[in-house]
Amino acid sequence: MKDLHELTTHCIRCGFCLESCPTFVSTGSELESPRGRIYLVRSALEGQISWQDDVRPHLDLCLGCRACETACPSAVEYGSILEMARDKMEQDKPQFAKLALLSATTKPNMLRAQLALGSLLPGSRVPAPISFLLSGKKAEADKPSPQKANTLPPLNLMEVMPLKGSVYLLEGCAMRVLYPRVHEATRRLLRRIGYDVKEAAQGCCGALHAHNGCLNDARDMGIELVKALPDNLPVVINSAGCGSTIKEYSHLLEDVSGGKQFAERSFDASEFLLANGLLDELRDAAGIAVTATYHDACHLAHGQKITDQPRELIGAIPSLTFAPLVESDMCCGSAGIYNVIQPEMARTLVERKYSNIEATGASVVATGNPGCHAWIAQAAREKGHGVQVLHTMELLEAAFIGLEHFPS
Amino acid sequence: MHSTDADLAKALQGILSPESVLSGAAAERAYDCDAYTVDRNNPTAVVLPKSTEEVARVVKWCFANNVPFTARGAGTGLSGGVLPAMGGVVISTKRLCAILEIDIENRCLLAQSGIANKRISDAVKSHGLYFAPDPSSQTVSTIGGNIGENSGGPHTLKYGVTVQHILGVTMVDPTGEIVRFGGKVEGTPGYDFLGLIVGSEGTLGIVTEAWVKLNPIPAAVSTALIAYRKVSDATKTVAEIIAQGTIPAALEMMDSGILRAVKLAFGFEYPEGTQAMLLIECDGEPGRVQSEMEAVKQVCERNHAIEIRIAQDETERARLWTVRKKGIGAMGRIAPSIVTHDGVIPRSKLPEMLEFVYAVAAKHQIGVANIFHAGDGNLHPCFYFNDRDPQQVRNVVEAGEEIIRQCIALGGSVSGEHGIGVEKIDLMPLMFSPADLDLQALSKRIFNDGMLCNPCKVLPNQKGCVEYKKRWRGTAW
Amino acid sequence: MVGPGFVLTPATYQEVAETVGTALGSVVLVHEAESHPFGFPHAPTESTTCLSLENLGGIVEFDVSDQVVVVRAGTRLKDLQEELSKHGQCLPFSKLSSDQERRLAIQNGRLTDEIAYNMPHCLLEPCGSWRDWILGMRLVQHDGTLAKCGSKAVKNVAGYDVQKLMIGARHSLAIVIEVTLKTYPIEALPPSSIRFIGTDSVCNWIQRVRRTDFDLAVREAGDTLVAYDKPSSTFWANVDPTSSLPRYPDDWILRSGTGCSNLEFTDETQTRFMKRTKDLFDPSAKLNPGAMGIF
Repeated sequence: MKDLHELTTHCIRCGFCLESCPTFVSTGSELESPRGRIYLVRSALEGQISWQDDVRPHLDLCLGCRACETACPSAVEYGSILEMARDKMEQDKPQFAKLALLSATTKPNMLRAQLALGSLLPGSRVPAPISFLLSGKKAEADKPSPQKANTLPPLNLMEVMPLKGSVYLLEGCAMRVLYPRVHEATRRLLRRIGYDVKEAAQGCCGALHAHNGCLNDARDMGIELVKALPDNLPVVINSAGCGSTIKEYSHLLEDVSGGKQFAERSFDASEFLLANGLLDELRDAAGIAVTATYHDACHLAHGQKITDQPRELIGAIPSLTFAPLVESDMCCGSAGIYNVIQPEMARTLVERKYSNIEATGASVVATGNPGCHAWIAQAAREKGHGVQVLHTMELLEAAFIGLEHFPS
Repeated sequence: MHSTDADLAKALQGILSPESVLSGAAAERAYDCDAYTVDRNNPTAVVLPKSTEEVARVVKWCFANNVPFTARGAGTGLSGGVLPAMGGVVISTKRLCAILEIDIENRCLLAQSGIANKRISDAVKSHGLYFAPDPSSQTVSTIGGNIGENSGGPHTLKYGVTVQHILGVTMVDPTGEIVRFGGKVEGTPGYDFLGLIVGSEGTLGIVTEAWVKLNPIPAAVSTALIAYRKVSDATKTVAEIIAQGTIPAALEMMDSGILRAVKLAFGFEYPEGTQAMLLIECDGEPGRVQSEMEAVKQVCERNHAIEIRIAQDETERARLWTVRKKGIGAMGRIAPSIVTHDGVIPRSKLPEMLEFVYAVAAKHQIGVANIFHAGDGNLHPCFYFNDRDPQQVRNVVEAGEEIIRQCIALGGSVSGEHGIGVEKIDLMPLMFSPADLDLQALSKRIFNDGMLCNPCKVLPNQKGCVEYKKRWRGTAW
Repeated sequence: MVGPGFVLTPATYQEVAETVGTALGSVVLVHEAESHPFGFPHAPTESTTCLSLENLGGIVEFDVSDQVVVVRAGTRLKDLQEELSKHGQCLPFSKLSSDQERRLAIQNGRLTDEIAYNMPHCLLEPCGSWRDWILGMRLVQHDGTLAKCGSKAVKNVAGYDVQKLMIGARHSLAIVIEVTLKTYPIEALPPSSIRFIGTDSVCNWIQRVRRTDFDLAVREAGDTLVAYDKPSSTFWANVDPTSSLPRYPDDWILRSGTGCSNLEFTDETQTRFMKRTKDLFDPSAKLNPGAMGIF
């Protein structure tokens, strides 16, 4: 296990992280910056200030987007510092409402049941009592509404590459309930390059728990997942947050048999598809005549350093015009369960994100993470300007079968 | 002075709004220093005003109540310029980040002072313009901070430092009055207050808005990275290039210490036995750039360069620059702590100075790597050490002082771009006589006749600072 | 001995200091042609100490490889240029014929005056001005104190840039006796874009405007125009002293032969801080009284 104090001392306080930090840019406050937070954690560890009174509010406001890690010249492991500090505070004084939310979101059956219940309640937002319990504030996020499953036309197996192997697809917890169509698109794209998906009963990867400072729970879930997906097959992941955590199993599960290897055989879907020949397939696709832009999910761009692969794939779609997005790698405010527990900051950030998206003139925005997907789609709905939000996998599959199969 | 800290924060909340005031243990820690972490002191409160008028209101109140105040931008300074030396109020400009006017035709732009340097260039890039001063911190450091420190950067050799790119400022003076100097046209007759304000380290008032000059983005850029087996071959190249009348946009030097770090951190490869590398960039009209680079190449070859890499495209150019731009950061990856120094010497003295730096490091048993803005004799020796070993820390401080003394002995300066702040305040008498310092104090008094606005900075032995200095000097260890 | 017609010519820094320090009345720096064409005619009284730096010339130190020269401020600009040119160096003023120099009122005077008057030249845009070339100075204060500011380093942020205050200050804050300057390789000197109109008229009006106003301003100047330099949006004209040319936002002018309005200070803040500066640097208003037109 890494030593938290040791990690904080690597920060030389140069401040190069500041402008990459969404909460610093929004508030201008050093307390809401990576440098400030690291120093606060270090100060609390050295007994100078109080964890709960002085440090917690500022760590709570952190999105965990890790853009600061990309900016840091000294390679400070901010993500680890954040998770370990949150873990410490959670152990000292658990936030029960947050834990309940985590638990509800990451168990597919519970999530389904709650969505069914929730749909009976009036209004589109997360119900007020729940929001107040979690954030003490008015809700900003809409209740999640799942995509319909099995809506795509059958894949003509005569037209695709012959089979060359099998992979696992990480089904995820919330992902399989809320975004079945994204999974469907991913399966089809994999099949187009010659891979079928080996089905396996699997649970949650523990990413949301790890990001929110419940490292033990995350570890337990990780151990289960490694067991559930054996045989050294590649694991393809289409949720950036999950991918980022799974690739860090090498630390989280360093003493667990197969943990490190699991991390090494896990790939983001865009990474896997690009490396295994989707570009060639795309060249022959029908294409779509739209202007599209791309929003970097934090846990892809900063957590996994994957920025080029999705762009390269999207850019290869025939007839598509790619419009670069200003501040594309700045967090949209969704950040896992953040938009439920920090509604105000999340709102500020999605407004900024959406106005940048609008400025590109694109009619489609693609992204690689379910949280961003839902949160930006809500902004698009609210503005009523009809910018279509799609997962990168959906946009890529649309290149073959047409955009009309992917209504918002 | 107000009776308690809480009173002060409350009073400030009354002047601005509660959400614009930070106080308490966390705020005191977070704002106790900038990137120069050796000296630290807590402010009593921090304010984040949203307009020039709000800044003026706070300053007026501080002036009336005899409360010291210190302006702060991004806090990336390397000499402790925003250390709240007497406590009091830190006035952050980080909610003053707007661009107020872009005048493409007149090639200038009006921005609030809290905006990051790089965001100015980003805003006018599509018009083929940019803001030339490029300190290494430019993605975060604010234009207000650049004005305070008269910041440089690798491209100052050809394009000049911040003072050459500021057309006008709006400033809240130490009494709280809003004053404006300069405008869209340069060179207005009369005393050059703008020239005095730029580089005054926030001691003459708080700059809240600035008119900055925009330059056309050069039509062509050519970048070369040249390896040498002998440091003296590299320094000779520098002297010859300058002497023949070529003014490259950048002329930077890295020694083997930096190269080792960059290799370790980023896998950057260079020829076996390389002791020094030069990064040379020419820009301007395509034809001229090509002929300049050709001339540069000849000088390099004449001086026994063992490898000359010329970037073929933008990606390669960026890769060559990483050696320079990420060199110091890479040092951070291989050592627990680093201190980057800043001194200037006449560039003809580079070889002898470099020898001196190596000798000093060896004497004090600390590691050193060197990055130079070789074109203008500005050196940044970078010491790496373990900051939890008090003896090593003391050695680093002593070594730093010896190097600065040598800079002065060679006819240079104690600071080329990082400023005096509190870090080098005791070194000022090495460079200036009491009469010289009195003259500087006189010019400070034009704007600041008291001890409230960023006190205890730049000039040594100011009345009332001695006691405070004991409190924060060397608090890092 | 003091009084009109009698000029003191100290030959060392110490002598300048003593002369200024012991002067009871005002101290005026005498220009070759009695007064600078763009200054105001002085009217020395019985108690005026008239000073010339004609015996305080010569290069103190010049290192070609550093491109830095230290020179006594009584040196003539022409002499300095000639000396520098032997080493392929110069101060980046463009090469003009003596007739062109006459028409732009270029004096080639002693450095102390050139700096004090800070006249626009025709390589402003590519090469800058005194403000960009002066690295350091020695000067004598009103009470005879000798002090220096800046350094010999081409890049320096140590302390307050007092030297900048002296540029264009017309000897009203201190007497500059030595300057350290950055030199420029002659070979790298860009061509000037200056255009002369006609063949004879001499300028008495210099105006700099915003880039966007330049074409109009030059057109409006009509046949008063002597020369113009588009890159710096500056033009030289010959204007009847009783009239003036149109003014534009943010612009400024310098003119000669109009007494105190030679320098127009209309900005209240600028004027107020100039007065405060003068009070601090020269509390008895001894140095070149009247030179700035406002005190």
